[in-house]
Amino acid sequence: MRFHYSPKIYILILALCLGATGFTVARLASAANYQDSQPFRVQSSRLAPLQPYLANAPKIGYLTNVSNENDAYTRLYFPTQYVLAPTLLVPLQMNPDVELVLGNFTRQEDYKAIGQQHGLELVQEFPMGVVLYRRAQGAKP
Amino acid sequence: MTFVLTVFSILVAMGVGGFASWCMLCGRWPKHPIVENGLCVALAFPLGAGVISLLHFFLLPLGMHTPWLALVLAVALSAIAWPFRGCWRGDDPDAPPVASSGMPHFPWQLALGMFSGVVFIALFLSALSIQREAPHGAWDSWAIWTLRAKFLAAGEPFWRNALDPGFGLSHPEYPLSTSSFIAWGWKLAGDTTPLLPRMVASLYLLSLGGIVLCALTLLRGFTQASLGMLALLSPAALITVSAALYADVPLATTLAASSALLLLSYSTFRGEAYALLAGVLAGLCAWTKIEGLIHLIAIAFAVVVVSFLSPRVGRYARTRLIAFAGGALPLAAFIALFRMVLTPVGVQGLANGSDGLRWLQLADLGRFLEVIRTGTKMLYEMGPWWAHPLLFLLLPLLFLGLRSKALWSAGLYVIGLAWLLICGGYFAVYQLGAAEAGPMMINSLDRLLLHPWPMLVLLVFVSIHSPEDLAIAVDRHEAKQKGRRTKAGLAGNATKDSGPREPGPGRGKGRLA
Repeated sequence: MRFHYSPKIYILILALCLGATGFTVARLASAANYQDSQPFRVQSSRLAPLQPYLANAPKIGYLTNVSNENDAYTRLYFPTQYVLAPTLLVPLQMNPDVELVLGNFTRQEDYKAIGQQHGLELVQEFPMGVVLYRRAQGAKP
Repeated sequence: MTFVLTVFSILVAMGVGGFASWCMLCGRWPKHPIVENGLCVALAFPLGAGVISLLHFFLLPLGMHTPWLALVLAVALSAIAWPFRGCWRGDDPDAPPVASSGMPHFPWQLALGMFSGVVFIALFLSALSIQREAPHGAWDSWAIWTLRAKFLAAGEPFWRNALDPGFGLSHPEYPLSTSSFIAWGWKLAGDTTPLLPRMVASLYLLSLGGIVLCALTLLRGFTQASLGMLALLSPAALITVSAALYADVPLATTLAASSALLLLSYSTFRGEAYALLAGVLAGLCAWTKIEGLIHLIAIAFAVVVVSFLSPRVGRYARTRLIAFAGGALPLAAFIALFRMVLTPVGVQGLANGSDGLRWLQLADLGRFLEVIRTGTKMLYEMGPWWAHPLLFLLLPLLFLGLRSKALWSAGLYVIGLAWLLICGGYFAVYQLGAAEAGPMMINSLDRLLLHPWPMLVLLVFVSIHSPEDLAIAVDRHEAKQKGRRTKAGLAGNATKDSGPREPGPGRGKGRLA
């Protein structure tokens, strides 16, 4: 017994195989050129000196100079949160009941003065805009 | 040691899921051992990881943080399946369990299968290459899924951060399947290695391919399954989203598993075991991503409707409904507990986020048109025009044609209705959501389109003829003399469909073998 397939079956299979070859080659090329948009090495080294201070803190406050209506806010917040997890960073505008507050700044400013505006006293200033604050005596969240 | 324990955590999950599905689906006498055991292997990880993640998470509020307890409970749960092995087999000699003998008959079928396999392996390797470049994945991975895994892995009191209202930027109401499983694996390994989320993402992708391949082979034969694999892999986002370590591919895999098992359930003599596992996996959809709630509701609704309203309703459909409910209800109860009790006040219930749904927007024609316009644009952008995913469905549909409706099993109606409901649900979310429709769709629709895609592939390739159906068998000697031609493939198709006894096209003696 022999079996014959209609030419349209061969055309169909050929078309699908050609299409699949095309998209496979395109995706292999695209994967080869892929670049990580968020290399965490930079954030990890930037935030590394802060880690010993947060070892037992389940949550700390979060203060930044970037407006939370700006996309840059989340672009700064989430990588920082990811590196510092499992400590939770709660934005100060949510009035968290926390002792320590992380200052995460994109430019050099008078960090002490910024802290005072929010009832915070500066504990330690680290390189690249990273600042650790503590709630000032008597200050309420 | 970390690597060994990481691999161990994966193997344990696969062992738990694989053993349970093997007992339920294959048991003592698999009719098509390679394909049926292959299906069990493909189901192993989604099932095992889903159940372990659920157990691990719900032990946390009880103060039980050790990963070994979740492991012991998962092993005990899978052991419950042991006495039932083979109980639901189709042991009626006239009713083989599936519609097709499955395996390839001709070298070119094998070549097509190998080609599909090479495409899959090449794309899988491209996903691994992206993962190597970005080991922490992309935005949603480190802003939601892996981040929450870090909270859950850290023990008391850190795990509560995953549900803290202060975590509002990152959706504390989202389900935790992948996060909880990764946290469990990290605890077992004793280290938060980024290798584990990468392995989880890769295994879900492999499982997706395996489930579609094995289910289509069982339902419609190997050639159809090979063509279905090409269609499955055609969306451009599949590989990038998988490599980004998002929960979308795990959700698509779980939904595909539930759909495939339902299709098999209604095409199989005594297919209650398939329906039971389909129910469990439908429940796990709702535990994987918030969209999974829509999937669970849609599939459950479709099973109920077809069981009671199908013109060909029979007792077998009702028994499948009971089995499906038996699998889905316990998980639905856990998910209700999670949504109603454990998630922060303000984001509880079914509404996504504190903004919820705005029902008055139902009549907003401008928004409706924007949803349609953006949806069409993004559908078009699923792939290049010359290899667009829809072409991989439309061309087989055009060239092979739909099978007679008399051959459609009730499972096709269930999955077809569920697919429509899921698409309708997604449309409703965009139409009624609080955020602006256009940006919301641009941010999410490419990923959302992946969820029901494997389901659509299954639907199309089960509903159309296979190339074998349309083959013409020619007797060499008679052909020389008379040029006689007989249609072999459709020989068995004139028989009426009767659900579990559905005779597949060309099955048995009528087949090409």
